[in-house]
Amino acid sequence: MRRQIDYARLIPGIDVAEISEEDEAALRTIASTRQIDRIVQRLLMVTLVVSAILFIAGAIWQVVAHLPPVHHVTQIADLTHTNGPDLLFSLGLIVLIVSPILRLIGVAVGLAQQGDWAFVGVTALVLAVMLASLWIG
Amino acid sequence: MFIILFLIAIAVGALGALLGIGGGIITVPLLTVLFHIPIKAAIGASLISVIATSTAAGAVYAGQSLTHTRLGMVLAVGTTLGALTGGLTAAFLSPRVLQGMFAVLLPFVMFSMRQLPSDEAARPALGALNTAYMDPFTGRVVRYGVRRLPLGWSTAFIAGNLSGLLGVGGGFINVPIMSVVMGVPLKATIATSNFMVGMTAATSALVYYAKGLIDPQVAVPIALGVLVGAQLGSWFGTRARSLTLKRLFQILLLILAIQMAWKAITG
Repeated sequence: MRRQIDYARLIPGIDVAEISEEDEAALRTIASTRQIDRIVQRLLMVTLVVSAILFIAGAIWQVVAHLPPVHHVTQIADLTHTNGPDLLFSLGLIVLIVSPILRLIGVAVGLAQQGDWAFVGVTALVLAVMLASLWIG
Repeated sequence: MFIILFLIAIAVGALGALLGIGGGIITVPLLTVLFHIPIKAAIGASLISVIATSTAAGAVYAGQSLTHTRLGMVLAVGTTLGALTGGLTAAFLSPRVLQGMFAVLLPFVMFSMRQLPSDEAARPALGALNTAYMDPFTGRVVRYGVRRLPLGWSTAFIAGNLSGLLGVGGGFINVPIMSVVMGVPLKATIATSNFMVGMTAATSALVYYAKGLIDPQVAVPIALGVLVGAQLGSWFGTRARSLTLKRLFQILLLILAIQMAWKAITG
C-alpha cells in the first residue's frame, strides 16, 4: 500500500499496478532527483516573478511619467542614488542575472541534504570557475 | 520598439527553450541587422535573453525532473574551464578558420543525429551517473546512463574553448555532445543544456553589467518576451515527440552551418 501512495504522489496518473522491479529502482532515482528539483523550481519561480514584476512596473512607470529612456544600467554601488524606472530595470536585471548562480546554490543545498558531498564539491568547483572567469573578465 | 522586441523575444525564447540552445545565436544577428543596435548592446541583451530562457525553461523542466543536474555540473566544469582558457586557442586559430571548421563539422553532426533512437524508453541504463525520468509525452519511465563520460567532458572543454571565441553560448554544441557522444535521451539533453547555458551566460552577463554594456531599453523587453516564450517552448518540449525535437534540431544545425560558412567566406 505504501508503494502505491508514494508512487502515485510522485508521478500523478501513473499506473501503479504496472510498475516493474526495474521501474521501482528508477522511480527511487526520480524521487531523489525531485527533492533537488523542488528546491530549484521554487528558487527559479521566485526570481522569475520578482524580475518580471520589476520590469513591468518600470515599463509602466516610464510610459505613465513620460520619462526619457535611459540606455545604460545603474551600477550596484549607485543604486541608492537613482530612482524611477532605471532603478526598477537595473534591479530586475540583477535578479535575473544572478538566478543561475542561485540555482547552483539551491542544487548544492539539495545535494548536501542527500549527503552527496562529492557533487557538492563539483558545484563549488563550478562556482569557483565562474568567479575566476568574472575576475579575469 | 518595446512591443516589437517583446513579440520577437517570445519566439526566440520558445525556440531556445525547446531546443536547449539559449537563443543567443538568433538574438544577436536579429538585433544588429534588423534594429541596427550596436553589437555590444546586442550581445548584452542576448546574454540576458539566454539567462531568461534558462531560468524560465529551468522552472518547467525542474517540475518534470528532466534536467540531469549532476551531468550538467560535470560538463559545466569543462565548458567554463574551456572558456576561461579560450585565449590559448585564440593564439592558434582565427575566428574565420573556426567558423569554416564548424561549417564543415555541423552537417556531419546533423547526419550523426540520425542514429538517435526515436523511442527513448528503449535505452539501456548503462554507464556512469545512471538516472531516470518520466516522459510526459509517453507516460513511461526512461532509465539511462551516461556513456563515454571522459570523452564527453573533453569535448565539452573544447566546446567551451571554441564557443567563447565564436561568441556563442554553446547550446548547439552541448546538445550533440550529450545526445550523440554520451547517449543521453534528447529531452534530458535539452533540459540539461538549458541549465548549462544559463551558467555560462550569467558569468559573461555580470561582466557586461559591470562595464555598463547592457541597455535596459533593449534588454528588458527581450527578457520579458523570453520569459513568456521560454515557458511555452519548454511546456511544448516536454510534451513533444523526441523525433520532432530531433528533426527541429537538425534543421537548426543546417541553418547554423550555412551561417558559419557565410561568415567564414565573407569575414
